[in-house]
Amino acid sequence: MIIANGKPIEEVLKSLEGHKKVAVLGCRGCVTVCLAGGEKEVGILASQIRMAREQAGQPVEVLEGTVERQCDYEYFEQVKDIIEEADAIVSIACGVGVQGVAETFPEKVVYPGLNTMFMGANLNVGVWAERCQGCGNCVLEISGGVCPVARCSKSLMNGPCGGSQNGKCEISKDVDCGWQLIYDRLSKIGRVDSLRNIIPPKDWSTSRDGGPRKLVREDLQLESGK
Amino acid sequence: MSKNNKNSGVANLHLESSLESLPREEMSVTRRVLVIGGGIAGVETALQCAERGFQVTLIERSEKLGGAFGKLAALVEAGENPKDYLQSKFGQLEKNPLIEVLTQTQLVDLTGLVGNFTATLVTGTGKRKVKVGAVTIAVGLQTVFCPVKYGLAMEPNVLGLTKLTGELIEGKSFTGKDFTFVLGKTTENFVLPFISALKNAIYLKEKFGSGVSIFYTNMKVGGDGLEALYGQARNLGINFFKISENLELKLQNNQVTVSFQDPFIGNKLPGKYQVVSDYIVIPEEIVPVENIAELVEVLKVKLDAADFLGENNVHVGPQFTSREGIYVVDDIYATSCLAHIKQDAELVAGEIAGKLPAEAFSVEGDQPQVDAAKCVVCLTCFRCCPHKAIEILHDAEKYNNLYGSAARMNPLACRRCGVCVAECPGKAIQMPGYQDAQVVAVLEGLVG
Amino acid sequence: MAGQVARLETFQPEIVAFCCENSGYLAAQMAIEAKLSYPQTVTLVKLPCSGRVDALFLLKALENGADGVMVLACQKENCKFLKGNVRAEQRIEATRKTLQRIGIQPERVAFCHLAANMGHKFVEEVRGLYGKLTELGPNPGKVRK
Repeated sequence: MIIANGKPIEEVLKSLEGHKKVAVLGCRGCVTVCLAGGEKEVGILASQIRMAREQAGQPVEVLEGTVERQCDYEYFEQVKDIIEEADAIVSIACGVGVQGVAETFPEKVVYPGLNTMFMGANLNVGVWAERCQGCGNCVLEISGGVCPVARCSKSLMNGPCGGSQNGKCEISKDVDCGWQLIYDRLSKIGRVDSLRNIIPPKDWSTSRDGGPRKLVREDLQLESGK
Repeated sequence: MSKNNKNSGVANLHLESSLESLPREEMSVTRRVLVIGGGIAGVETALQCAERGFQVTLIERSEKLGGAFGKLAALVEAGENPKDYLQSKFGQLEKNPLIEVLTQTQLVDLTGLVGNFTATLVTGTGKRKVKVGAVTIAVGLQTVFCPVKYGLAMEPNVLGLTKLTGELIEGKSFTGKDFTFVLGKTTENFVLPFISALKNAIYLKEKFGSGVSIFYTNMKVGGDGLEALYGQARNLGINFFKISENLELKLQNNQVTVSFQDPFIGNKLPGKYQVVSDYIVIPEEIVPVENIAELVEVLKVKLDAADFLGENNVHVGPQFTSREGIYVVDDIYATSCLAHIKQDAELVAGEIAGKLPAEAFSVEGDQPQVDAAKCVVCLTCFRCCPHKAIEILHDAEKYNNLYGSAARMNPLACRRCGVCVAECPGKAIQMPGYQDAQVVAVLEGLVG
Repeated sequence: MAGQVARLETFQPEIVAFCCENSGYLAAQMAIEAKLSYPQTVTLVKLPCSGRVDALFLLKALENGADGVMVLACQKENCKFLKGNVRAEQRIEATRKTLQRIGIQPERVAFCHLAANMGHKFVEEVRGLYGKLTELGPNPGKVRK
């Protein structure tokens, strides 16, 4: 799941300077699940914007709406009215959703209300951790189910660097060494020996290094191409 | 300026809820109780539940039933032998067709909610799953003899309270021996050691004519008929000395010397006094049973600050845990006599009977309700629920959302606090009587 | 303008008190029955537990004209629902922080632990917040006035 976190309110307020009527737009996808952009957060942010502008002597009207998923553009139909009524939109979806608003409503000003962080797991209420970097070429089968790309700070492919100390990464005592985790996992499943196999340099062209990515599946594509 | 006549016309949301029509929910449950622990508390609970028509599975870790009760004469009336009492209870257990007794058996897993738990038991012959509606924990306590805490060594004339009790039950003679009891230094939170000491002291005095002195910080003997023990002990000539921290205890030539300064008469007759006796008796430390951590993990309940089960909270009785359907018999802090254990067993059995009145029945659905169309099954409520009362159900036909799933507050397991409602990121949960809209209406009426 | 000055002179802070019905609400009832005097501009909202207090309620109260809000919860370790008062306190702390960042004094949000038999404590807390709000003046963020 995509994990996001609210932008500092000051940044949101700065974006909205001069606007008289804004819409705060939530998403019922990942950002609701990670407690950053669901219907409740829409209410909270809207209320904060109203009060902040009131006390600054620049009252603003704030409309509220939440759609199923801002990454599937058909859903914007549900909130078309309020978007058209507003002179600026604050999307509290991930970056995909913000761009979804921009693409769907080319004439409208849209601002992000969240910082999109990473793809991760919800370890406990209020705690999320990165688990996947979307490199486009999964290696989890050789690393015992622990990702060296996402969980090693350097994304090393053939064991830890010299900064691995007592199972922790040199960047912080709160970060586990990814390769320690891989070693522990492989020990548990009796495959430590597989570490002897040298992994050749990884092809990063499927990752961000190859530029913006796009996936097209011809088996699914509709005739129209849309 | 304000619409409400505030101080008298309190925004009484709950009254408005009577206008809402609440759906009734059909429940079907298993009327079987799992009782964990074959000590006296477990045995009493099993009998009480069976009396109310429940089937009972009574499990005991060790080879035989009885627990520590045989050694705790303090729990029964003076002169009675706890072992006789146990035998009569065992007879009742055997005769009762509703009760199944499994010794050398442990609970290793518990899934589901009140009314419909599935317990996984490990017995001598392997694993077994049992469907139960409620669970009662009757594992009691554990005592540890620790004379070091009193500055004493392990010597034959330094006795623990339960050890002394055991020796008295077995008929050991103490004719002509004098005793000193020191109470309350480490077990002051519990009533049992005080009762036990008083009963033993009275017994020693009456049976062997022993000289008995009791040093205490506080004398806690709360409980029906128990306060009279103190008066009885005094009338028999047992000496009581109120002490503060600085009590000096010395072991020499098979004798115990206690030096102390009396806080009451210290001003008039200053200086230290000494009391010499043949034996010194101290209470054993009272600690939770050794497997308490595993038990708590399996049951998903919380422990109190001293690591005991049962809620130590003014709103929740000590017979209740953090989850509905899981009860504790034998309130560790208050247990002071057999009558008290019986009361607990009766209370818990009654509670279970009220909770699971029949195999099928309907209840008022006044617990928080989930609007499936808004639920994204994010698990926030499931994880935040202090009572572990929420289930995630899948029913593609019933739930009109992308997942065909939704969270549900089980009407039997939910205690109706509304924490889930406040946590829900999708505003998918509403609580009858305390709807968001009702609260917001009050707030919008602030300025008229 | 003149009207506004006049209103400042007679400023009576509007307070919303979210009360747990197991403690705060009963304490308030006790205060009312004992005829203890406390400011008349307090609106009590009864909730099943302080854990039911949504962060949004606090903001909505302030937005809708309250000068201050308070949450009255059970004593520590004595929540009927075990952790409701802890969750409430966490949310209040977060709300105070965001209020501060949008230029509204965090002291406008009060939280207190009390028991059902503490009518006096209820009055004390209400008077305390009322006094503080009188000093702070009207809530600058209220949208409805």
